[in-house]
Amino acid sequence: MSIRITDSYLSSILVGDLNRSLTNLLEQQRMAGSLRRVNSYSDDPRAVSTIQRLNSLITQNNSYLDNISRSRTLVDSTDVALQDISEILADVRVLALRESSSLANTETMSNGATELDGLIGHLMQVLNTSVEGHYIFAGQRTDKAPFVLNGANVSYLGDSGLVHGRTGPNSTMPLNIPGDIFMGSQASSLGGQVILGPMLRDTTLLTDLNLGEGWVPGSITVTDGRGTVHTIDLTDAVTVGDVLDRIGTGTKGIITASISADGQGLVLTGTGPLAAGEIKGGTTAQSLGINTMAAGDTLRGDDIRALPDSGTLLSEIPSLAGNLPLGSMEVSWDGGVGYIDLSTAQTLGDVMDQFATVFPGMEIILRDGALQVVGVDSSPFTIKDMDASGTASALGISGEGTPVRLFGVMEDLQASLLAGDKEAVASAVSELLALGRTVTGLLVKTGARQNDLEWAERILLHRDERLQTNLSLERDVDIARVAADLSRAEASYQASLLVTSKLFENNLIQYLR
Amino acid sequence: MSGLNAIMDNSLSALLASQAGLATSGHNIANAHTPGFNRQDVIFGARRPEITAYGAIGRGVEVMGIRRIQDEFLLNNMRTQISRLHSYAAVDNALYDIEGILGSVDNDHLGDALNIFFDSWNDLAQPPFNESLKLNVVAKAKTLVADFRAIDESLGRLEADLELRIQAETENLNRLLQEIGELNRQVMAAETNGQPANDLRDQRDLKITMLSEIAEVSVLEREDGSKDIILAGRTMVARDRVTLFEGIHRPDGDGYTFAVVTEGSQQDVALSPGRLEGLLAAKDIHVRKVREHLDSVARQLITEVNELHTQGLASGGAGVMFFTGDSMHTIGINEALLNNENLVATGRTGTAADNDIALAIADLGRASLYGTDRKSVSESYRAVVTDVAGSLSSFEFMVENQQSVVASLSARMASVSGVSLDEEGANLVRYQNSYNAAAKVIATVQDMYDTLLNMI
Repeated sequence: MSIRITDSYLSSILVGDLNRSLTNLLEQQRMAGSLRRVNSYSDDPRAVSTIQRLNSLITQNNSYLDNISRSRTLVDSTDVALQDISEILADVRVLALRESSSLANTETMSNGATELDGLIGHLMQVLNTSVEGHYIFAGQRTDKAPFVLNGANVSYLGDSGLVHGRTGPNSTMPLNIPGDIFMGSQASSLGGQVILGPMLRDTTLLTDLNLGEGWVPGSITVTDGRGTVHTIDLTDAVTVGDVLDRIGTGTKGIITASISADGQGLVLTGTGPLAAGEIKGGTTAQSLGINTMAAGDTLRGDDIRALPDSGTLLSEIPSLAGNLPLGSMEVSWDGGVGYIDLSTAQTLGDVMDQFATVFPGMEIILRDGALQVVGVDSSPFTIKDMDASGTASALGISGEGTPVRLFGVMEDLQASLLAGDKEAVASAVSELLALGRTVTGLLVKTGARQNDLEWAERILLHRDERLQTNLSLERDVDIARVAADLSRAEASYQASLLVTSKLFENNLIQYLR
Repeated sequence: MSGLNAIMDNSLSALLASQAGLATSGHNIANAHTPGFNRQDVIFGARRPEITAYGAIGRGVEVMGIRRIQDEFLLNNMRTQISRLHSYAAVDNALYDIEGILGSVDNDHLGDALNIFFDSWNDLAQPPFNESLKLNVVAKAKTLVADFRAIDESLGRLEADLELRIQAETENLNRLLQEIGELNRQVMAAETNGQPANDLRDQRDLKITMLSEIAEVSVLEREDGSKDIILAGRTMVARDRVTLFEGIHRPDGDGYTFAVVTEGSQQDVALSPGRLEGLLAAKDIHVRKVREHLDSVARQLITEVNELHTQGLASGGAGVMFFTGDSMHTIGINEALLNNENLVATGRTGTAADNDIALAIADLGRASLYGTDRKSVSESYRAVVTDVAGSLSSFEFMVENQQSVVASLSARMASVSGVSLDEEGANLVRYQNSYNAAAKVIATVQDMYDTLLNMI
């Protein structure tokens, strides 16, 4: 059908074309001006959701980086304080060796007692170290100095609470060393012989692994029998089940990951030899207990069980498998003996409650995943099995309870020095050596935390880089392309203007005379 | 037998017809850019011939009528498309306003306020602990509450503005209905002689087209030339009798809804597509939906934060409700916390470094906290923004498409009914030549008369 060309027809067509050209030009100018492909939400609704999510993740990531910086302050301060404590203990040990030698006499021992006074004061000062007004060895009661001189004795006013810091999307880590752990107790104590962590489950949180120390998010490598190295990204994994799934998916089913039959660690199964390892010096595989290799078809990981609590079912504790139901124990102390029947206990809480009921003066607590019995005072006590169930042994509280003391040793040493008792001074050396080893163990733990923080920071920086790249891809313009499009849009608009002006210039009326 | 006088009559009819043609072309040229004008065309017809013994002798030309050129089907189709365009555009404008209230990619104020609020809990939770950060948590909560309230207020203003526009459009609709009724009366009066009142009809069609912007109408033409206007199943204009609309407030729960009803009988009108229906949909569907979604986000924030915070123990006392209210409009911060920030609880035991509550509240803002079946507060808010962005994008697309459809139909209308200056220029030459030729015939007859008279 032929179209009748009229002035208004021409006008509507040309104005419409001009509008389209101008709209396109403005759009290109807006993008070139802002360097953003997406300015308004409606520019690209799909991208907007992604951009907002990425912005949110970047903000969170920056928070975690700040967290790590603050966590490092605490862990570094703890490390310095522990080194000081280690040095003080070494000085005390040297003093004890010196004053128990044949060269020591009453005068040197008296001077030694004065020197020890100074060292105890220094030790108190270190143990009451505070960062930004918070006492680092006070457990969760960080607002008060945890160690106070109470007459001749030192009392601990803190608690055994761990302070956790968030170091990533799915990870927290304990940052403090509660003072009671290396102070020990003036009272006799016994325990810590058997870890009572519950069996791993698919739903176990990765942050609870390794007796609450958590894990280190990151990637690992898994090598199958053909020597193919599979990289498994576990950064966003939350539960043990997530790790198992991702290893299975990441190796395309060549290797199957599962929880070991005893529930203590992970097992990789496939045609051997098998190996699992770290990427770029990370510690993720190590924190999952599988930084190892196996010649056969099964790679068995280390014990990475979570921390037990009072609600943990006895039936969930692998080491108690052959000891259930529990039986009876005998507890004896100076001048007395008592018995307890734990056959009705279902949880660790039941064990602790029943013990506290039968022996009200004594305390039974969970510390570092094991049971510990603390006596009424420094008098020794004994716990032993009463039947074939081996209950006391299975619970890790069998044997003689003796005092574990830091200030007690110091106080005894001082008394011995003042009394000029060389034999007693010499006997303190072995206890001081044991205490030194404990502090060294804590230093190793703190060092591991420093490494974990460093690794977590590297992961977060890498993550930030990746998030920023993704954000830019979604949000920003391709400058070269926009420059070309803008130039084309300008040319198109100018052409439209020129054509419009030419078309309206002429009509027949102008030629009529 | 035809004489010289008859020839003179023939030529005279040609002169008059040419004049009518010239006048019509002049009228067309004069109205070339008049909105709603349809070009007119003179219908010429040969007069009845004189029958003689040797055949029929022509008696000249006569003007049978002047018609306006219009495609009624095209016009009705265009009106329908115009109604849809204005319906979409009304919703599109409202969604654009909502998008502006929510912000932009670089100014996501509520999203940022949520992130900053949860971030402040993360800072508070991070050892070594800084008690003064409790004040920061309360300050960030105030910012968040203020932003929720600001959005609530802006949405309220948008609703009020939409209501004003609905009122204005209702008045506009009534005015056009009255004008069409009046034009019906004038057309009926002008066409009693049987000739169409072209210009009055153009004016009436223009008014009906303007009416279509407000609401889609059906048009029925009567034999007397009047046009009935049927809107939402009701005959609003019958000849010159007009029924009007009015906007009323009707109580609804705690508030009210705004409804358009027929004047007098107060009957509800289910409006057909058009600007009025679009404005009502924008207010009652789109703004309400965004408000409900944001209320739900505010409620989720209040519930989840309070649930955790009340489990805590603070140095200032037992964990209290952190937020008050249950919607975007009523959200507030517990007065007790405003007076004593030490009531901000970070843990369950109340010990200085217990941070599990603070960590858990910080986690509420994290993405994918609950897996796929449940959204975090931030994710819920992002879903609102995505929904608005998606709706706006769809409506922008529909408006753009509809504009193309209307532009295409408008161009076709302009092609059929518009004035072509070239065409009218050619007609001018044509009618001038006819006029000159007829005058020449008259001059020739005059010469013949002179010859005859000189013979006497």
